[in-house]
Amino acid sequence: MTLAAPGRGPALALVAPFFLAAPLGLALAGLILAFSNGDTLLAINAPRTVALTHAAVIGWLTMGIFGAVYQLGPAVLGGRLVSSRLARVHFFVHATVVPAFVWTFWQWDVRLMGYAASGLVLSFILFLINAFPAIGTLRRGALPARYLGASLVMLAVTAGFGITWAGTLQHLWFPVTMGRLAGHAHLGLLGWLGLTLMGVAYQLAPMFNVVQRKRPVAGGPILALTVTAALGGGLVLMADPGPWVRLAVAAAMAAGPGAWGIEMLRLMLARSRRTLDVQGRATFVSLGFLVVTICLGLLAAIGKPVSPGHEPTRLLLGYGIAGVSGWAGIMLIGNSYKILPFLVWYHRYRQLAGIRPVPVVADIYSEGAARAVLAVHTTGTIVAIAGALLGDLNILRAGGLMLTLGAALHMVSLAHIVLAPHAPAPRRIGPGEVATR
Amino acid sequence: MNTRDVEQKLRHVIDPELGIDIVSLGLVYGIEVEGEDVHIAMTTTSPQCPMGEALVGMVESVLEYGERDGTTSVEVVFDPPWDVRMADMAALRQLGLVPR
Repeated sequence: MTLAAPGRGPALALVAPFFLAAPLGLALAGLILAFSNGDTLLAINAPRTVALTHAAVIGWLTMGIFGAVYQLGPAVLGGRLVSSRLARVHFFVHATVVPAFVWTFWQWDVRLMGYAASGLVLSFILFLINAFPAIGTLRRGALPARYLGASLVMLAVTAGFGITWAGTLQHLWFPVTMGRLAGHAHLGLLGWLGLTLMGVAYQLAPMFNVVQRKRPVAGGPILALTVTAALGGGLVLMADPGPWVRLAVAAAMAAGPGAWGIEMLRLMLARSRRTLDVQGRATFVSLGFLVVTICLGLLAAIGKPVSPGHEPTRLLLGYGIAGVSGWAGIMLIGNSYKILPFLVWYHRYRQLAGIRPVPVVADIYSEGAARAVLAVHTTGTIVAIAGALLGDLNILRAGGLMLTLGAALHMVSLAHIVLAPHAPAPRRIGPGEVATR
Repeated sequence: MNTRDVEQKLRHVIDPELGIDIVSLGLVYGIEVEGEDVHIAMTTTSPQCPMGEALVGMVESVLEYGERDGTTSVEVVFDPPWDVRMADMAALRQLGLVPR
């Protein structure tokens, strides 16, 4: 058996920009939420809501996942990048296109939307050229690689539908119904984001929390179920089915993440590292939001009869915020405080370790700052969900502002990890320091 | 240098993720000293541990420091797989498995 080899991973300067830029997407999404208008609570396809969704999903989460895949693939899964230069170009393309894309939704400029969507497809193509080789061979038993492989296919499918919808908005080939939007959204949320986060969690949660006494037992079936539900359910939704079919699709879509959540909880409760750091805390909080997401998703599928104020948009909005900002977002935030400090340690201190005292990974980030980010973001998410469900625009806006504040704190905290000098905590310097030159 | 000296030196190799030295964690399975030559058999907390490569480098750096003439070889083994019960009381305390 060979050791994982972070040395095969790309340079810090390649990966760090993805992590540092990702909170800008969250800040943008938070601001859009803070500038919600009456339409936000009345129509899930209102321009500002579509802008908000894409800022959060593509600007924040996807940007962070790009960085994680570029790092974790070569370092942990045994693959390698086709070209680091291509990944750098990809960053600039994505970072340029996302604000333009979000702007076209805000303005509802369908002509420019088509151009921006084309730029986004280019960004995804650049990513996929590197990402498939980066996750290595989909060898039997390598759960994270299989999840990531499936999620990359789902990204391509989601992008394919996305650019088609952008094209038809401009050229009026056929109407973009609510069902078609829902299908596209669920292919992206469950197929791309969900599968990626589930696969990465299978790798990172047991590793960082020293889980040994339990092993994943249903990773393969959960993957098959989730892929089938995301793809099949997404296509069924595009046909604008009735409420009972919607409910069946929602139950099928919830089954995979639900089973994964139970499995993750089982693993986390069996951890040997009992003292939870921010990544461990974030995992539990994220699992809590997964439960909320599933409940709201099932209710939203039923629709009007169970909607507060008989207004289904409120449930849909709350469901989206719980899934994107709560489940997926908090998982990403938690893992950022592992992936980025590890990268900094590896590239800056590995050569010095064993020769002189160096910081450990926990010395590279501020646990206090990370907890503050987690607390502000979690509170902002809860407030925003409450605002959506209550139909109170002011509460919704307050949630948006809190998410923006959390994003700003997160960005400063991550920048400090990358840019600031670090020193070993005194307690970790060994007695006598025999290894000090 | 005897095995005790080597073990003392290895206590300065800190797992960067857990912040605990590799001897206390029970990651060092064997130390053989033949004259000036040292052979270490060690493991990592999991086969996919991203710090594995770095830990091996740190062990080599610690043992090659100074004016020793012999060679250092480090073998990474996964049989038996590491178990937290191999860690000593101080490490278990730091992991939160026993009260401080």
